[in-house]
Amino acid sequence: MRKTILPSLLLTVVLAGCAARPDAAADAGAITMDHLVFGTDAHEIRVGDQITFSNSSSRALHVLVVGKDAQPRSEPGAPSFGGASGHRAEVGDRWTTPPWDTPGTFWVTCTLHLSMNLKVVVA
Amino acid sequence: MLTQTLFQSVVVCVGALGTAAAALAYFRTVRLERPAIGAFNSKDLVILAGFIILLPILYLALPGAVLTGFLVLTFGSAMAIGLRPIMSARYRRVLIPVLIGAEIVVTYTLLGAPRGLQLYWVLTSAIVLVAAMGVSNLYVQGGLRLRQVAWFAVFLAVYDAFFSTVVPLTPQLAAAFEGRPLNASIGWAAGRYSANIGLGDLLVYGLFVTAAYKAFDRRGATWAFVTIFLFGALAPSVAPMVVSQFDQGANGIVIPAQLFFGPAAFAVTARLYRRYPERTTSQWLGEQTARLERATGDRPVSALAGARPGEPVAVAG
Repeated sequence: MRKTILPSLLLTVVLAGCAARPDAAADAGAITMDHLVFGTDAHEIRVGDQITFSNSSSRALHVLVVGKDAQPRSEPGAPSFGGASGHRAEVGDRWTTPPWDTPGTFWVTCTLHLSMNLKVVVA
Repeated sequence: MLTQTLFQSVVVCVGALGTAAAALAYFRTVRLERPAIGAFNSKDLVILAGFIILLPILYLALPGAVLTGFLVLTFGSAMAIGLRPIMSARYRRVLIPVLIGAEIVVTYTLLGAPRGLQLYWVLTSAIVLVAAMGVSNLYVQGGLRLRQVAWFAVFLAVYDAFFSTVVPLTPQLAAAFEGRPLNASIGWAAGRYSANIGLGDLLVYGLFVTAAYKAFDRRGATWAFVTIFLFGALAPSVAPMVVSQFDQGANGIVIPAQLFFGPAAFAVTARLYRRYPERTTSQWLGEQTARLERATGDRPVSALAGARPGEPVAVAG
């Protein structure tokens, strides 16, 4: 019994470390989110468009809010990201924002990851 | 980088030294009931090591709801161990569920709010602090010796080195902990910065300082605090500035802390054993009993040998 515990444990570790990333094809048209960054730094859309975010990270949870540098902040004209809870993007999550109806420049960030900043230009 | 390092150093020092101080204060003033399994020994440390190894893997393997249930049971039990001698059952039955429940609610509802992350860290840190304080005391009051704790720290140093550099699993797992309920660490976030240190590290610091005090009185505790400060908190916080492999990017967790602490703890332990006689658990119990009898006017304090549940045992310094 004891002899099987260690190999089983190591196998679990290895398999856990080798967990497959979500299918990249499923991310088409979406802003991807890796462990610590968005797939792009800036995204331009037209008034009334929506944005789809896809968590393609193999591990990390992201909490998306309107704001910058992991700090949520009120930006008049930006759509709701779920209020105080933000949008919790679990691994593999694919979420589309409400329409961006106000022209201007906005920022989207993850409250857990300082390095995640996306500039959204609504023209 | 420099500001994050400074922030990380302060948070980790406060977390590590605070946990060690709480564990020692608890050790000096509160007597836990000894479990009916005999004295704690190296085999129990193997079980603890297994738990420390398994916990991160469980995070990956179990479905979210099952994992949260497992963590609720784990932390609820650990908090109950620590709070039992100092709080009546009536208050314990309210405090523990409220604290854990509040942490879970905040995790799911307030992480997108301006002060949500700070509230999350206050609640998570409080739970982890009580758990680390209680469990480390259970082991050391139950008979664990400093020598065994030192070997345990060396084991964790090897573990940390392997899973941080050869197979970088620990940093990935630490990243996966973020934003989840009952993240097993003490931490803080302010402005653009965040930092935290894991329960496994904190548990070792609690064990080390209490076992050092039990074995070598204040001299042992002083050496333990200096070792924890320099090698358990400061060195791993500053290391990412020197070794880029230890830089966790936007993740504030300090890894691999035991790589620095384990060898230092072993060396300090060896020095203490070489220079001073060790005080055994039974000797320490006898001294504490005598001290309490003096403090209470020579009334017998048989309760010390097996304190009544829910009754704090204050031992004058």
